[in-house]
Amino acid sequence: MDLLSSSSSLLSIADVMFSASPPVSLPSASSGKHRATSSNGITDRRRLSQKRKPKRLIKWFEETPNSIMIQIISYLKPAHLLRLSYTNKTMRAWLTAPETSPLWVQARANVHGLPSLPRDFTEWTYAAFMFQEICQVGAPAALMQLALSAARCVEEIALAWSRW
Amino acid sequence: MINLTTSDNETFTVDKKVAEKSVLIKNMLEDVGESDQAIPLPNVTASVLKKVLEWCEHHKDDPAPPENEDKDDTRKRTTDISEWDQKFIAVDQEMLFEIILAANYLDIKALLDVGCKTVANMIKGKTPEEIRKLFNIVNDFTPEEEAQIKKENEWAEDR
Repeated sequence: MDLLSSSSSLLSIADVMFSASPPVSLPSASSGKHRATSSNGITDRRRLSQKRKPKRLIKWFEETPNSIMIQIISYLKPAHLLRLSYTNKTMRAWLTAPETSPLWVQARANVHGLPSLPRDFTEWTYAAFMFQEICQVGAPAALMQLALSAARCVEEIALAWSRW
Repeated sequence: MINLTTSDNETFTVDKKVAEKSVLIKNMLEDVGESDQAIPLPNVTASVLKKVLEWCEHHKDDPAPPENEDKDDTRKRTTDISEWDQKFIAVDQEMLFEIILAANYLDIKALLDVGCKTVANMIKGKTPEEIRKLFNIVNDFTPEEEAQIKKENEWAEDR
């Protein structure tokens, strides 16, 4: 049942991909302090000291074990993965690598009635095509046909458009 | 009754049935047998264990999840979460993160599912910028690359 624990090859890919990527640096330790003191005031500082426990910034994609990250992603649809791939270089490199195509296969399975991956498309370009560039006036007829066959995805497409 | 000791040295006494929602604890009890000695849980703090046990208590009569039903890996997955679980998991990000890690460590699959679905639901419908903010992802695209991404989308819009 579990894509993650069962498919060890995917897991090891993720290990490689995540560990090989340069760590994303974030001034997490100072950001809370910065917020409290930057708006110049004792009141801010006092407010901070009254807090029992300062909130910790969770760097989810670095701190979460890969198996969990993959499980989270397994619930998403191509449109969501596509937007995830635009967040930073590491994510983009990871999600456009052929090795992570099982994540996209699962993402496509999460959309009811989505036509299977056409030849000559990579997972990423197919997602970009389906959820970003579709329904355009003047799109070649063949592409429009494919679009029509995916009519059930209209909701997804609308979401992708409205958000991107 | 079973005693569990957290990383910050608090001891919880719970029903065996509740504790055994954790496959880790269940296996420990099977291997070692029951004793009066507390089971140490060095990876879980008291505040998190309290929350996890609240979940275990509520779900103690649920049927055990089927083991290894991995025949059909890529069937459709939904992020539906029961109403009780939704309320249970409506916590701050740090607690959500800790619950997920604890569920993973304690091997409580159904709770891990709830946590992962919750994070997935947080990603849904968000723009890349919103996702960055939510998960503290640094945007390391150069301005040129960022412009290129925008351009790609403009091109898409112009078509």
